[in-house]
Amino acid sequence: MTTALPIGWVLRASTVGFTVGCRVLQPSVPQFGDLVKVPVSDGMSVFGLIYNVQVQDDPAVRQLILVGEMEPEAVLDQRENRLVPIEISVLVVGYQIDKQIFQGLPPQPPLSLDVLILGSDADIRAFTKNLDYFRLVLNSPQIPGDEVLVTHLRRAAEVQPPETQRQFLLNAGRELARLLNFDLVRLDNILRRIRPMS
Amino acid sequence: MTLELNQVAQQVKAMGRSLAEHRPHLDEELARAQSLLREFSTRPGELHDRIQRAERAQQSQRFDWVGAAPTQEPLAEVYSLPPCPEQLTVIASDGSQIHPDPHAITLYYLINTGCIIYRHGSNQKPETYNPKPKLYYEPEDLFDEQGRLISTGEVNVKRDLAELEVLTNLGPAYAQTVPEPVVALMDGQLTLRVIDLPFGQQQDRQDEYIGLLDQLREANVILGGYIDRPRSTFALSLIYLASLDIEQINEENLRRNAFRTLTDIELFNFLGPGERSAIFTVRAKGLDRYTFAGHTIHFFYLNVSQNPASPHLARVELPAWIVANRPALDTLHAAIVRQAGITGGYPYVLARADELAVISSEEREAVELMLAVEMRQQGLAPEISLKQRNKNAYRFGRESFRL
Repeated sequence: MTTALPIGWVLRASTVGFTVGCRVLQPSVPQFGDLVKVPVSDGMSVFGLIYNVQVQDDPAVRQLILVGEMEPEAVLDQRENRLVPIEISVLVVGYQIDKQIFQGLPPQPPLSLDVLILGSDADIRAFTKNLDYFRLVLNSPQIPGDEVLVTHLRRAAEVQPPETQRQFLLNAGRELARLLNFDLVRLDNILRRIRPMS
Repeated sequence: MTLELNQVAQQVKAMGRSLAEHRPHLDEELARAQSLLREFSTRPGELHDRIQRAERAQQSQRFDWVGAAPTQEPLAEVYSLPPCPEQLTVIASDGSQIHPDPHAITLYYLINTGCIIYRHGSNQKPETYNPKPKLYYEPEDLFDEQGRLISTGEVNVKRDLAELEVLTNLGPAYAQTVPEPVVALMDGQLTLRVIDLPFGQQQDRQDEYIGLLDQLREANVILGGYIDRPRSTFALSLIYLASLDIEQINEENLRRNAFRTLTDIELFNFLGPGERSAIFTVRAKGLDRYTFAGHTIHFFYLNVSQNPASPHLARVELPAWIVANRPALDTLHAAIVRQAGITGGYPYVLARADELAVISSEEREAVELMLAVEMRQQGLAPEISLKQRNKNAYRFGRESFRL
């Protein structure tokens, strides 16, 4: 994940999260659990994790489905020519001012039409040096926080240097154990899924 | 003052009762019209005599007879859906406009066109094409020699010409490069509506339009105009003539059409899924130039529905050179049904061409905002009229206080 191409633009935002609109045709459609960032002002960027990707309803598509005469050319037209909007929901987990990364909520949310870009491998490595953002993810209501964290950690481990990948996951497991020591079933469910391959 | 819906509601009830009360009479008239259609199905000579008489009455009186004339095909005949070529290209264009508005910040108008090229059986995504939108603002674009502002009808003529021009640019190009037949579909009638133009311009514009039709003919592009839910009564006018003795055809009786509350699509309600009616020729004043150029306008009715329980009839207009070419006629017939099958009743390419061309109210506002900024940069003072300002204040201001 090294692309710096914009993948969408902010539709609406608050301090704790924001929603981004993008088109199917974007070079790299973002995935659930990806670390993304939005440069918001001089030297400041907001970091977030994608917790929902939603294809918006479209009356024309609905009509085609109801009719059921799906010609391949019409499907390609709908997917590639028409502006089928995708909405991406992002949970804010930190921000960066100049070179310094902070884990927690930023002083200001992104503004409408700010550009969303996928975090680079370097961004992911820099952001995951500290794991304080786990608490924000696990405590956010109405998002599948456990699933977001599992997917995000697997991907984050892949971009660590090979010799530190195992240690990265062990550290993540320890932090999770500290935060979820009151809910062992939930902890076990996450740990089993991020366990490093021996 | 808002619309008093409680007062409308009473009238809506009365309207419903009235519609139901008229239905038996309409059904009787329809049965009579369909009976005449069958009776005269193979008597074109007698019908042509009546048409000549009606048109003579038109010449001697200030009254225009508009109707249909039979062709070689029996009037009541039904033509089933021909096989559609597996590979087929269908091109459609559409246009949209911002009309000049004396209450806007300045006078201008804008024409936008959209086009789609759909290649059935190709497994390729359709190509879309949006020619550059054209903004008109020079005095010679806006005013005639007497200083009158261009009418909406004149703008519409420019839009219609632009729509056909797109087809003329792309249709022949595809016809030369792809092996399959190329169909060009227009939304609406094939003729250019010039009635709103100053008399001096009518013929020039028609000649320009006919020149574009010539190009499509020369390139073997299969051209059709698609009219959805037509209210036309061309065939019924002919059937009314059939109901009169030839001596009875005079101006007075022509004005008193017994079938005036019916429409042609009711007359042809016996068409099954995919079936078309016989082909007719349009008879109306002002079409001579098309006839002289070999583009005599014909039409048929077509049931584009695939469901016998819910027929959906459209009128398809086509020029004489397609009528004379049976394979091309069958391809047009099959192409329209195949296209309509995608959406369940309306050609997919026409729906998409409309989407590509349409200027939304937000886009219009954006154009006006750009104009306002540019005018200010040029030291001008853009202002909407007081009438428009008050309309905006009273229409939209109320929203702010709504809970």
